[in-house]
Amino acid sequence: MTGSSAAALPQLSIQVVNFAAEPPGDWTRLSDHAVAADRAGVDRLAVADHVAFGDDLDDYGDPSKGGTIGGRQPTGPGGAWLEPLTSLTWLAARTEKIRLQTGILLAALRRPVVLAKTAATLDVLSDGRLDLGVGVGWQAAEYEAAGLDFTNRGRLLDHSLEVCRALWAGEPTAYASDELAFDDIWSMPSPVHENGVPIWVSGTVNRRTARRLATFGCGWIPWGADRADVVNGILGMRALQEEIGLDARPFEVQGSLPVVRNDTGDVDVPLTMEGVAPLVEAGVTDCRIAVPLPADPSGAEDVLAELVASFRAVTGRGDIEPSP
Amino acid sequence: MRFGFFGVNSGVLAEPETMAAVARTAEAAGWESIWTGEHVVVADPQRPPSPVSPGTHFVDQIASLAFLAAHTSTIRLGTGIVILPQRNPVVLAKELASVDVLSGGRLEAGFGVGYVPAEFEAIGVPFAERGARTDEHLDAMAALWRGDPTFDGRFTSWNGVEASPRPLQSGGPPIHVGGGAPATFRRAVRRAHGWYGFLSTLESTAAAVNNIRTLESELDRPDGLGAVGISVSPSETVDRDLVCRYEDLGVDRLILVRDFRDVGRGPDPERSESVLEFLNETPDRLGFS
Repeated sequence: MTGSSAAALPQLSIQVVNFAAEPPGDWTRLSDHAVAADRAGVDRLAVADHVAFGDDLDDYGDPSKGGTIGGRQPTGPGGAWLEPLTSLTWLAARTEKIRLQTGILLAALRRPVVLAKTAATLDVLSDGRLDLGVGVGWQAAEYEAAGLDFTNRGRLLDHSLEVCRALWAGEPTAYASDELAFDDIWSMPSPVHENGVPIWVSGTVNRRTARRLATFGCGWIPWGADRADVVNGILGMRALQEEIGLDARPFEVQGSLPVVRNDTGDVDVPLTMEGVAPLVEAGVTDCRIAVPLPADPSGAEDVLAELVASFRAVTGRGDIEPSP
Repeated sequence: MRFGFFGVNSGVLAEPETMAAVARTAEAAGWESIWTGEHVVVADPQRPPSPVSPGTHFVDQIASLAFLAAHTSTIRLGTGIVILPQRNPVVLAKELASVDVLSGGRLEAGFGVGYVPAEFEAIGVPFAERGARTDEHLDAMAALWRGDPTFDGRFTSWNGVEASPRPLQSGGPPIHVGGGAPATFRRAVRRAHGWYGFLSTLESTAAAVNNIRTLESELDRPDGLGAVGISVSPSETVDRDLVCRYEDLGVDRLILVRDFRDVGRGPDPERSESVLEFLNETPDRLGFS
């Protein structure tokens, strides 16, 4: 299910913000930052997902529920969160080359056949630029509001991915599981790439995530402690896949590139880029960087272009020209 | 009379450059709105009552409208229609609110109950529940958009949940319900801004309007919705005389289908060129440029 090879050159990605604690008036900045990233040559952008919030958000900090230690939901329950597939399609129309990732989509909340349609056609509208990052989330209230059983979230996600894979075949398809069965069903158009939309599986090092990654994933988005220490996370994921006897293929990995600041508090780009080599050595293929961006589009583009140039220099991509 | 164009996301047009060109051309030529349609899945072989062949291309409607929102600035963007019982209402409410926000409040939200059993089977929704689900899903989405903290339905319920952003248009996007069954006319009066008749005739439209006006006097209609708006995609060839006759029936909006065969199959550059010509020449011909 991979649209790109795990042996490809390292890539640089950013998150663009599709949520806000207070109503932002309009979402110009989301679009401006996506366009700036595209023009600067950033390889991938990601947006986040929540369809609804309960009033108690403490589980975001509870690993036993799927949260992460020290995690804090950024907006409160009244925050505005644009739907990510909708947002990415809007951004697809305004960008040309940058890959568009859900980071992550609570895929199981969608009706699986509808998700297959939406993802495939967003891929078509973006000329094959969608990366479908998926996870189970941490919030029971969200599943309950969608009429789904939070305790069954792992199976619900696997079912969604099975249905996507079946319907993306581009021919009449049959599918059967405990949840759903159909024969001779089409859903056209199919995704741009023959193997379907690349799926990035999010989670900690655990058996369910390891299996999901081996079955459906081209890439892994580590979570929790394994995101904080991605070098050991990758070792742990590979070891676990081997231990449970999975036919493990190489997989891409997203890892956070720590931002180093100088004495005056500004981002020290050369020192920050010294962190790339150890990540790449460990198996990270997508370096996620989080730097503050100016609101104005040309200022944001300048900041990102400097990062891209340095990143390409340290990863041996210096001979590739940034986009005009 | 307002004029819309139907079918921007399907068949011969279902390809990004063409869809963007159709939307821009329609906006520049003075059309009021563009509309999408759907069959989320299509069964093979084609069996009645399915109107489309198995490999027909449909780009997801929500994705289509978000995409076209970025390519246009004033034209209204309509779903004509979303088969509502096939969707999760909490997710759909979020998606539609997002389209409304990102388009600057240009969404027209059309919904239908669906009518092809094989499609329901493939999606995993009982065909027999389609009417009940449609009514409740409309109520659930309206409740989320109002910010009701609780909802207690047969298919959906929540307690202490909220979802933002809400739609930009005050009170949510205009809701249209499509179909020709008595239950649809009741649904239009009780729950929607407007009714949408697809591939109708003068005769069927006259009967529908008559039904709706009668029900308006019999049923409770929420305050603030006004009279039920009437949108129609005629199956007849539309000329100025026909426009006047639809106007006389009380129709507010004609959503034109150039040729239903455009909805069939997949992208076709030659036919899509003819669609662009149609979009350019129709306003003068019908007198709305």
